[in-house]
Amino acid sequence: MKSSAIKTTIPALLLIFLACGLIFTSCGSSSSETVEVEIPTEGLITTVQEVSADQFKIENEETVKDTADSRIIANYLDATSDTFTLQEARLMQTSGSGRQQSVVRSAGMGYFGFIMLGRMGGMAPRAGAYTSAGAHNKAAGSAGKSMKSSANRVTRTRPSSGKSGYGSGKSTRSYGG
Amino acid sequence: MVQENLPVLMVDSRIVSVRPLDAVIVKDLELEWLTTGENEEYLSNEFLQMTTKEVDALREASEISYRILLKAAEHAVKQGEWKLLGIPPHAIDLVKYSLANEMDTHLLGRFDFSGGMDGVPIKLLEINADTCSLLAETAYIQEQQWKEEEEKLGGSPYNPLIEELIERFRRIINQNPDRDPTLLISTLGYEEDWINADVVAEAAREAGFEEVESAILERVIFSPEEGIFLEEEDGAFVRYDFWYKFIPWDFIAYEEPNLFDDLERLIIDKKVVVLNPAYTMLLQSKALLKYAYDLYPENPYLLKTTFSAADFPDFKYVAKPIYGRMGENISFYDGKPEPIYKTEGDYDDLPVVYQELAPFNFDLEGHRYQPSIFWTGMTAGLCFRRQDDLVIDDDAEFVGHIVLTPS
Repeated sequence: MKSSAIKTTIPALLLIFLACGLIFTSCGSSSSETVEVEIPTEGLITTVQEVSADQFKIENEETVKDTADSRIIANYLDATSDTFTLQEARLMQTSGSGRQQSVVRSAGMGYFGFIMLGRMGGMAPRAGAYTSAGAHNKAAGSAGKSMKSSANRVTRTRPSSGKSGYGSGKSTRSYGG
Repeated sequence: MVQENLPVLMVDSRIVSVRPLDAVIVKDLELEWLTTGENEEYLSNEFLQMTTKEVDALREASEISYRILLKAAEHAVKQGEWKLLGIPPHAIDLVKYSLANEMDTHLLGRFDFSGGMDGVPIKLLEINADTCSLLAETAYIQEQQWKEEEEKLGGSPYNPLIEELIERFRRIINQNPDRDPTLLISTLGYEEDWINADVVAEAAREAGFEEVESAILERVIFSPEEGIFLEEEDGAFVRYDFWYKFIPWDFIAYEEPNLFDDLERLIIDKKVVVLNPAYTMLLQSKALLKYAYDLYPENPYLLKTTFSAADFPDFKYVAKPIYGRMGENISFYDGKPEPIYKTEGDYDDLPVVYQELAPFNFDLEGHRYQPSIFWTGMTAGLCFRRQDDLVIDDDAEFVGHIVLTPS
């Protein structure tokens, strides 16, 4: 059995990383749209640095062979640090402390969000998400380039119209009889 | 029939204690939620000894009750009693369509009865036809506790729930050869509902669904023209040909009418098979029990059920909301114009039915026992709950059972 905690984190994750949001409406045609998505074949270790209290920026991004070895390393102002797996990062989106959520949100502004979560969509991380222009350039030229070139590109069909978000906020009781 | 002036045997003589399940086993089953926190006392660690005859009688009561309820639905619909049944105007077309086209796709439900032991007559309290709980307790906990102490307990539970659920899913797959065996399962997110939904997921995989995915309702994308989709983390939009919702039809009809309209189109255009089918909303409505009683007042399983308290001049009845759940908002009258007991809940704005007081079996501690029979188009398992209150609700204890064949 999967826990509901894991399941309920997914919408939050999508809301953060999706450029287009959860709800999309018909664009006048009843035919499905075809979109190309990139699925990573390499993992990523993203290091974020706390630049002011609970504010983080990306210091470094390096690829690793296996996507399951992906990590977020958070270096704090008090010289302590934490390491989070991809799964932990997902859970922290909703159940983590404010600080942990800040860590994940900051890491997600780089390739961790754009590629590890398959949200490239022709966009690229902004320099402002990094501790310096040098860190941004290095990430774009090495980890970003490598991950983009090794990613599997697949065509997906998405419905041209559709609605979601029904029943939100109703998880406080059982609906079984 | 029990005579008023004869003492009824207490169930104590048929109670056998069992050891609590080891925490490691519960963890392996991923069912800690059922045994910890507020649920710490939920599993009674006692089994009831039942005879084959008693279990057969409960199964027969279920089979007859189901046929009666379908007849009652047909009758009430012919009379156009939608409003009294609790079916809002925008839901009528789909329920009609479902009655005409989906009668063989009722996946799973559960009857709640009173009586059934020591000569106390079996009475139908209600059927949880649309979304029913107690699946994991019955299929896994009861089974595991029995296995741990099989020698001491003797016999075995009447518990073919998983096997019958698999069989029902196989039939549904075979009835739909043009559809991909892909199943999406959704709840509104409450942990207990996921626990029940996961039992359904396991049976679906065993039955041959190639893709079985779970997602909270708010993630599911409904495209009336194209089907039901889920957006995966890698950006894929996966379409599912079957949707099992642990979300009541009445919730969808009243709380999310736009979703109801989309589902109506998707179902009638054959873009998706929704389980349970929409007609189970009718069976779930306790108002249907009134029509069943009107049609078959002499049936031994039916309690007198009406739309008016005045039909009970002796003030001996319960008032139940037509779509109430888990024993919520029930008023218990026992001979006086004011209720002697009331439960709280979320359903106090719903119309009610009035049902005569049901005869229960008790133990010496005052627990009343409620047998439940699962239904997958046929009977599919038995479990009990008990409580030392007038109404079995969320505070009930789960009680296992074994069936002993007379030597």
